[in-house]
Amino acid sequence: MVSSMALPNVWNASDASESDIYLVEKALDGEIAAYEKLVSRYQNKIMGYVVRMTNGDREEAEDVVQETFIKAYRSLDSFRGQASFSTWLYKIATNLVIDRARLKKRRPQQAYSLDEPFGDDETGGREIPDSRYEPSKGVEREELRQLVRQVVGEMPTDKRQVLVMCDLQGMAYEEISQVLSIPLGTVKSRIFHARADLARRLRPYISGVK
Amino acid sequence: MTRLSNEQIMDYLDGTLSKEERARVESHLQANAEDAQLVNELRFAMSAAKDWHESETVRVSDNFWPTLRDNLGPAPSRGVLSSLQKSWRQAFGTSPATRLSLGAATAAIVLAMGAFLFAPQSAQQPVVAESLSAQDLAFVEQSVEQHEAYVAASPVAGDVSSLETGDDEVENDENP
Repeated sequence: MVSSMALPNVWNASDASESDIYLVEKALDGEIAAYEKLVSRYQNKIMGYVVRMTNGDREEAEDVVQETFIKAYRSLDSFRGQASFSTWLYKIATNLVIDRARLKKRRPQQAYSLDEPFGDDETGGREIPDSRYEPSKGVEREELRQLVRQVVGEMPTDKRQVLVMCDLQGMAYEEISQVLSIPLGTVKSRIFHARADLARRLRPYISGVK
Repeated sequence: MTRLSNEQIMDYLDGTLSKEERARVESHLQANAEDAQLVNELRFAMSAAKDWHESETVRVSDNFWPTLRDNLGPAPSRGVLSSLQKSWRQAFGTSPATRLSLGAATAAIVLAMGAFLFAPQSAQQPVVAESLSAQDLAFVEQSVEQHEAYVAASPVAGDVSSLETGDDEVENDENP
């Protein structure tokens, strides 16, 4: 019987009504509730990204996320659906984070060469002057987390972006490539060097984790 | 001994290598302590980063949406392109299958029009004159002129289209 046949998702009206592009269309028609659904769907993901890019400053991060959704709403008509809505949001958020960082004129960050091979050279790493992290004493899990937070926070923006998107947010290389408008090879190279930097800083504690 | 490339290490850690390639890398890691250490350190770093991220739940505040709604401003307006897209969707639906069918039909029409408009000239016009030598062409033109003169002088019904029926037919007509 035809009526009892399972239809694929593309034919399923209820699934289509929940798609991002459908909600965008509804929002463009003036239905604020549709945009609220989109915001609810992505607010914490974008927040998770931005808060890592603002060194854990949640207040500032929430301001950026607010601004991200305001900008997205006001230029909703320019969303063509060629990339996913979340990719578009990440792109807006990334630009806002960069703009804010420029405005703040923070201390200049150490420049890294993306082509620099990972080796045993210790000069690239910045050792933490904290005796608690000596290997012989072992490292509690929470201390390790704090160290990771510190290292990620000190990374140059280009490496931190890809590390957060890939290893923390679980985004695919292709999506990161779209968000940052850089080639796939560059994404992979940056991720490798970001991980290598982090690994270099964590090296003394690898055997000490409980 | 040759070291693993950065890309090989990335693919190994991502688990995207083929079974054979993965076995080759693992065999290499058993023999090369430097690469094995590097892979372990990278794996540890990835794991530590994930653990840190998961330990800190990051969520927006409870009044995020009310604050946002107050600052959104007026509803965004549609541009011309967006309006056209909406009309298209309303006319033909948003189903991927429908769009695929319409796309295929449009492609077929465009191809047919393209084939008609950009077909080689040879498909639309006779090429006899282009393939003849100047001498042959002059002969043909002379024959046509002679035939037209003959037809004009003694028109015979049904005889206009043939160059070969001229004198013979006249002779035949004349002979009982």
